[in-house]
Amino acid sequence: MDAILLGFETLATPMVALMLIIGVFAGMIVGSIPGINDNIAFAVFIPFSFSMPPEQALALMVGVYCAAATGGAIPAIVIKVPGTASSLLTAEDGNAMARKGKAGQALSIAITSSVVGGILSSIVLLMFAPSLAKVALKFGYVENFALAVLGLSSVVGLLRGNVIKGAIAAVIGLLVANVGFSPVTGFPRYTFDNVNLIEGIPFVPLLVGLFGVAAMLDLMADIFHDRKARTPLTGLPEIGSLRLPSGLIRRLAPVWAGSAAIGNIIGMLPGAGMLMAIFLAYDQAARRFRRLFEGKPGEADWGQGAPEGIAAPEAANNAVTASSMVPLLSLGIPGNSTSALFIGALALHGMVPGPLLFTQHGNIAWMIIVAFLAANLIMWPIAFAVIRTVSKSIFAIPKEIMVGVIALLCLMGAYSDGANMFNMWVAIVAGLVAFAMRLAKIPLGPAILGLVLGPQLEASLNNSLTISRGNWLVFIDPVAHPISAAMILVSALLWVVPMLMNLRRKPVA
Amino acid sequence: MSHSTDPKPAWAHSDAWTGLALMVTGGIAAWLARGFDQMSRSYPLVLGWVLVGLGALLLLNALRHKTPSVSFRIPGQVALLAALILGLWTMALSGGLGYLLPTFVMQLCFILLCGSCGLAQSAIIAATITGVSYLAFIVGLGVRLPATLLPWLV
Repeated sequence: MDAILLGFETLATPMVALMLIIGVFAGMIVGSIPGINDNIAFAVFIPFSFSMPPEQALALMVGVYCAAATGGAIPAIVIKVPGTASSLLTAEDGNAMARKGKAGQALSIAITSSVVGGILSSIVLLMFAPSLAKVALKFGYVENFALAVLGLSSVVGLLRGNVIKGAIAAVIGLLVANVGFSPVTGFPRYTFDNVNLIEGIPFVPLLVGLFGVAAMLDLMADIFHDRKARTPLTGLPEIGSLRLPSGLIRRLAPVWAGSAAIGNIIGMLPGAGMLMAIFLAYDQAARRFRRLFEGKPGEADWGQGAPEGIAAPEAANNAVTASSMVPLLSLGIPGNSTSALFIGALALHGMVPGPLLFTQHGNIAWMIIVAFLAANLIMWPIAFAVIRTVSKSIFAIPKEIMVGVIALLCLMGAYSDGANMFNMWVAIVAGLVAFAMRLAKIPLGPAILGLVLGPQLEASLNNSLTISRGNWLVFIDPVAHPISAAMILVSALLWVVPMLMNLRRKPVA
Repeated sequence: MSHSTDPKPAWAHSDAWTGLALMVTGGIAAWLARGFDQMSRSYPLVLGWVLVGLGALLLLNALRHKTPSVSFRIPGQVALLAALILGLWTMALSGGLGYLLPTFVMQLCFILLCGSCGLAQSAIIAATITGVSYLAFIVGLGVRLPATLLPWLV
């Protein structure tokens, strides 16, 4: 308890608190620019932070990290371009809601979900950081494979409609993830002797293209269709009222709790990443929505403006931000790429994350944990201020001018990730592919999941089979690998239960 | 996007072409995978053949006309024009023409293509976007673009 108070005391210093507020504000702005993610913001801030005392620098970084995940939802909802990868699922229901004149409510759901998810996760981090880290330590190759299978199984929830096209998307993602060095032998695959492809297709430009450039092409196609039909050009959706009715809060509360729990668990697992958490949370929310609300009067279809489709990914992504610090602070293992940058920032100030951090620099370690809680608390008013000022003026730009602006933001964002012109080509090609996929009604979600999980799936499968001498039963061994067996069982249920439910429904119909 | 359920020859169905394209892509991926070392080969090889199989299923479904076809006319025009503008802009940046001139031309092209305002007004808007983005990316965020051909090109 004394240690936690020490953390609060350090954070309460005026300059440290100010840095946290600046970090939250900057993160919100950075997150709302497509392509400029928290990693890029960190890269910009780290040189500045070197001259600051460590507690100020780390408070600034915590603020940026938490707020960037939330800020990404703003363009995702208003112009269907996710500001960060963590808000890619928010774009579907969020933008659909905005097009129905409820942009303010969609933004409110996104921000409130982020804040609730972040606060719940921060409390978990505060209470259980050292003990939770022990669970993460039990994850080996076998468990990582089972986790990847579980992640891919969440695709079932996204395959409403054409199952073949959903499976095609997942396989495309898994296949594209093969580009670059093989995770098993290091053999270069599908690189065509291009040095830029040796480490795989760069992920940030790929995402910028798949979502940003494709959204720009969609917008342009809308304008062309309107012109052909001689209908006057419709503007971008107005933000409108940000009020969240109490009935909706009660309805979303279980989604927030469930998604924050998923974000907490996934965030603690090294390598699992934020995207897996948002997909799993989205899948769970989709199942709940279909059970309780789908088909009722006044309810939108899933993917067409369901509030749960915004609440689940936003609560999960902010829950990941705090929980990804559990293995980092307790064991020195980063939960994801952004939390890995904290290692660099700590090292710059002569600190090594891990168990010794709590004994040697207890005030800093606990300050970081407390800062996550504080950042999520102050994020709520700051987010609304950003929406009411900066975002509102940006999105007041007419649709026909927005096409060029989105193209510029996307391609400059893609280029900024490594200052490489090749990234721009990746974004353009990815945008054209995603545009073609949308036309052919091939969903993008499963492709992204395949892309993210592909390397982990292949590497953990190969390593598990090598260690177990080719024994495929190792993944369902309840004695040696109970966590893996449980995850494989859950994955199997995710596939089997909807099939059984469909069979049960058919005779009634 | 326009959908049509009107009778069309099976070969003209959008899913038929998509299925065919996926079969070719999967086949090429599997064929290329044969050149990888033994340990790295099997996973992409299997994925390539799975894509061929799924593409074939899509093609068969389309031939049976189970799904409505999609018109690619306007989206095709959009994709071609946008790819051309963005491609030329990227080439101009990497070719050392600086940021301001290529970005101004790119913005002007998009506004003229999508908007209904005149050339002078479009040029003013394009210049404003170019200037603001230069201040934000190059001056503010310190993004470093490739070296320019001439020192006065920025």
